[in-house]
Amino acid sequence: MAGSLPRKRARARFVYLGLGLAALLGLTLARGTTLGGGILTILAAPEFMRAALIAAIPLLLAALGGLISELSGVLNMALESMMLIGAFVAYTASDYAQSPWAGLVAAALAGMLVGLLHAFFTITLKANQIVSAVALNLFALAATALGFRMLYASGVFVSAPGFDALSIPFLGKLPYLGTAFFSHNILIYLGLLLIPVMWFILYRTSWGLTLRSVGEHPVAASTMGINVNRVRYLAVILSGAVAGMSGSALVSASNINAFQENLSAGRGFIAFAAVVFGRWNPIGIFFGAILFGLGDALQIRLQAYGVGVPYQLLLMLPYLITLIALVAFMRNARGPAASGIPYSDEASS
Amino acid sequence: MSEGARAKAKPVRPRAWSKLPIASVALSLISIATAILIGTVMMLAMRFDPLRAYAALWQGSFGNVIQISETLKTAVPLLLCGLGIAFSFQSGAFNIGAVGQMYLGALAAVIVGGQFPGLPPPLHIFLATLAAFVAGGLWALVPALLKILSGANEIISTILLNYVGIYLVDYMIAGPIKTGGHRDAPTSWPVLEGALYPRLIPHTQLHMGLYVALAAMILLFVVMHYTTLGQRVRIVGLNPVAARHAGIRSNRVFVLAFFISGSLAGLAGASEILGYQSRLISGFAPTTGYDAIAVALLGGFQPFIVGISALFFAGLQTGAVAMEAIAKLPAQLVGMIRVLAMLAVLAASSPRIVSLATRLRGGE
Amino acid sequence: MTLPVGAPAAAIRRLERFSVAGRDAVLELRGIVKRFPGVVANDHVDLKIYSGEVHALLGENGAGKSTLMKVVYGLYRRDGGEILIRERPVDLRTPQDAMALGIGMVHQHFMLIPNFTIIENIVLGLRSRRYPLLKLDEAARRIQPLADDFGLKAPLTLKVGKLTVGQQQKVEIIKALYRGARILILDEPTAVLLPQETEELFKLIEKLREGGVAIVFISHKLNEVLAISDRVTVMRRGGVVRTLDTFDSSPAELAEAMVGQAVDLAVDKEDCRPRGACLEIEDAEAKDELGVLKLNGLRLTLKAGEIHGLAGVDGNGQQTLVETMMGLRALQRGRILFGGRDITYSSTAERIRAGVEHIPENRHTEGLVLGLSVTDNLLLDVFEAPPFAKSGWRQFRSMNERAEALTRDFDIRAPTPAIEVRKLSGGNQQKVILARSLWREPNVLIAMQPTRGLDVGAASFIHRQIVKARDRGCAVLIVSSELDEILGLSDVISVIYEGRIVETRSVLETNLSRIGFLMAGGKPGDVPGNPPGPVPPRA
Repeated sequence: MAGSLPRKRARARFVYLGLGLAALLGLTLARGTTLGGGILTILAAPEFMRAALIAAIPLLLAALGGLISELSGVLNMALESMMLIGAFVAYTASDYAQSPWAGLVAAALAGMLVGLLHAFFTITLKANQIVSAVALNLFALAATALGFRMLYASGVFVSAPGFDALSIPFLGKLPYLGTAFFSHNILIYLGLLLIPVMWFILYRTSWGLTLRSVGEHPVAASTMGINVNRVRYLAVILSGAVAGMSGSALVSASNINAFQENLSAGRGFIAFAAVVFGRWNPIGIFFGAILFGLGDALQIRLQAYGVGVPYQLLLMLPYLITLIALVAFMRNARGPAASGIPYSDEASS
Repeated sequence: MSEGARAKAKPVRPRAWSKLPIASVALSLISIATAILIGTVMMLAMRFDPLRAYAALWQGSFGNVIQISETLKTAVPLLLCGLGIAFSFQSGAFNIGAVGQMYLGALAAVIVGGQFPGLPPPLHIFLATLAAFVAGGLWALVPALLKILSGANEIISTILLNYVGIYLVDYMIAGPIKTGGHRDAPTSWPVLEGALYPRLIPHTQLHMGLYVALAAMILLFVVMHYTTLGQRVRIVGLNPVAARHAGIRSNRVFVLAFFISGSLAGLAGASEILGYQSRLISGFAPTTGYDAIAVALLGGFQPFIVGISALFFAGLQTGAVAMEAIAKLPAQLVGMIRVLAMLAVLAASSPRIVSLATRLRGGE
Repeated sequence: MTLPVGAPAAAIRRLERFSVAGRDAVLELRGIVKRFPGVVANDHVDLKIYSGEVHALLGENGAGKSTLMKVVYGLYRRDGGEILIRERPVDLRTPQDAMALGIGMVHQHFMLIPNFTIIENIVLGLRSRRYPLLKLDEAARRIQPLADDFGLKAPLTLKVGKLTVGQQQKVEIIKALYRGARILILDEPTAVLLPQETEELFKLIEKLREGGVAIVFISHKLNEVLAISDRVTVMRRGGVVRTLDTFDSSPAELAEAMVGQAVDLAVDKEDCRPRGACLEIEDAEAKDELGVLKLNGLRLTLKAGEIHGLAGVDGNGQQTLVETMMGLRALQRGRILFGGRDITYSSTAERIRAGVEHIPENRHTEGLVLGLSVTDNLLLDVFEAPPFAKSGWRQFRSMNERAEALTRDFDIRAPTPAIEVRKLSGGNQQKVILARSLWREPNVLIAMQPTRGLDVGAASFIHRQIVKARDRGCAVLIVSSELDEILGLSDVISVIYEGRIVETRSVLETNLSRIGFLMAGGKPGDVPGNPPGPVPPRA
């Protein structure tokens, strides 16, 4: 078994690096054309990197939330619903309390509730995990639409108070890097901070070991005295909290800091793909989120720049990139061994 | 673990009615009742009169011939998509891409239906419908092949392709197939007279698509229970590994089932366009594909019950308009009831509840 | 010629009778009852175990031995009776309770997480001194002496998935001892071991015994029970038949207690009369799904009218071999000839039609579709052809008639063939698969682990059917990890090691220790009877 898998991965990375360099080369050569020149100009601007990071954070948070759940063996495709409901709750709460922090906390709580529902359906009732996720996603769409209509029937867009942009003293003044990386709002930095924190908890604490054991081999874990269902419940609820916060990030990422129907538009699924793409570890997920954030930011800018490609095709870009990445990287992806399989306590005869 | 004397077993001939799982029907009914209950509570909480609301709902959905025909018309795409989802579920996979497949089907129908003037109507209708069938199937083929060839999770790829499909249609109707005039609400060129589905009841919008849907329903039932194809699909859905050991090509069956599932969604798109919309606009069926998941789930993934379930959801939809007009209820509330019904079915059909119910009934 | 199945191997027996004097009763069970829907798994079981004792629980599959110990370990809740640890009644609800009381269990299917390292597996669920921080290096320092003591030579930071089965078992034992187990339960520990590893295990058990640890040894193998235990409790159908001192008992006595009647321990078969070669595999090379080369120039010939046994440690290519034979996996190189015809590229369905059938290793995941009826499962590979289907339309009458006939002929106990196959017992389920593969009188039958998990009655029926098929002229390949079964049933035995056939010999010219030696990688040239070298790590 040893030897073939790492070799394949190394080869794959080499290929993709090569492809990326080739693309860059192609772009440079094509800089004469509108499209090529357009893309290059966009990529070079520090605002682009900034926008990419802003777009990536909601994905990152949702994906990290999804990771917690997945490592315990529960497929969490309900990320979309947690994100959407989180966004709505973040918006209304921060508007009501006139504080973005209230929105963040409320979003986390709302996400936890959704997580609780998902856990109840899939763990206690043992319903199909995918159907439960789809049902919750539809529920989120309907509930947020209803709520939005009820509370903001006037149709006038009210901007909720958002997080202030921080400007880090020395680093914020650096030429390219300053705008790109060091003048974001605090939510972005919190999101980034979550990566090493999660890594540490997952791999250096016994909580993390327990969590991963439940996803790998729940029966073995139970013989070691671990209550599998309880761990899974906690994992899904926690993942809901983090995914709910991603909704808050989503609201904050929109220019007007407001909610609208179906704000998430499938980003929960892109986040799910990011978990696979990142091979179920926080660092990899970060790269996945950045990649997809890049796609998102690129598409918006290309529209504004006017490169002559119809905007609808550009809108497809993030999804196509995700699809390609998924196909390319799913080949040897091995997630937690017991993912998606419901667990029963007493073996039946 | 049954041992002991073997009963004098008569050869078991499957009859149609014995295929209807009674338990499934009962569960669906209970779920609907629960959803209505929760809906009533919500209405009371929002200070609406539930009785008035439900009366308006009934009026709006089945009150008179016109309303009934509206409901039936709405049920057609739900039924077709729902059948597709039910079929794919039998093969062991979930086709959540009905939205994209429906859009692609509608696109194909508009393209073929809007060109070729001078074709005799029956032929034109047939070709446009066939184009939609194939287009929907092909759009479903992509995630199926991706799953086989690279192991890509078909749930995600179908959902991603949904979005791609929607934007593709948007692009087409603002570009290659657009018709002059309205800038802000782009529409495609119209479908030619000869390609439109004939109306079934004069002065209503109920069209031939109903026959297509009903035919699909019966055909699916027959295929699933009486043909070797249906058996193959069931085996692969239940245990693809054992299927392979017995010589069945699981991958091929899976891809075929997905294709058919997508084609049915494509037919749904065709029926909408060729049936009454007659031109393609952006966002012409924003949630039908997802609602069909609820329809299929409520219908226990069995063709005839999916039919009833589609009727129920369609009734809710047409009735919602009346509820809003007469009882002043927001349409989103009805949407909530639909979703609550789905959640209730999910809970009711989960293994835990089923085993609980069986034990209470004193079953085996 | 008859060969006794399960005959005691070497004469390692207890040299003196076990004495209770001076020992504490560390574990006592009084009237334990455990019920599952439809069956009483444990029926008022009494048991008493002393410190430093090796106590065997002997019984067939399904007798209730594992269930009983799972109750003791806290995995199941008992429905009646009491458990006493060191003469005090206890209430065991979870494995944690059991572990706190000094009970450890090594399960039949290891409860190890392949992706975790040895240390991680051992400390899982424990709170380190600096909870919640994991302090793996501290733990390693405490585990290493145990590892050295028991001869576990692998580095503790190695992932468990990379260890051999014997090493994994040692990790399991260390895991239990690390938690302070004074009562160690071993559930069918030798089922997955090579003969040499079994010897090592027995030495380990002796060491533990001298240290005062009480060991419960669950097994269905008479010879091992006689070799290692001090006392043996025989269980049958959920109840205790008898408890005896091993010193006083004989194989026949134990077998009779196990089964309830005088048991013919032999497989009756006439001499083998092989006809020509039926299936030949030439220089086969094949990879498994992870891309690892599993068959490395393998050559095998199956003769019509002959039972060919294949012995080998799991993972040396048996699975891949059977898959290539059935067309479930492609060959990178080499050919498969069937009656002289090249079928290397034929599909599975074509091979089945041509008369090559197999019984897969795992009846639930590979052999049966549990949600379908017995009828559907019996005809799983033929339902699309006449007379069971005409141009795509299924012919139910023909199907039902055939299913009726098959359930009669193969003694499948089911009220009607229309019930779901999941409701059948394991033995009857296996008979369904057997019926499916035999009823059209195939030319080749490949049987993988055909009697795994079955009671003696069902196993014996299946053996008889296989012999009948052979006598009819079928070429049979048996792949089994029960060497007793291979020795008892085969006419010819091949040993597979690292994707190659090491040796093929008539059963009359070989024996258990020779096979064990070759299974571990020994060369045929080396004189058998010399102590074989250390077990090499798994490929």
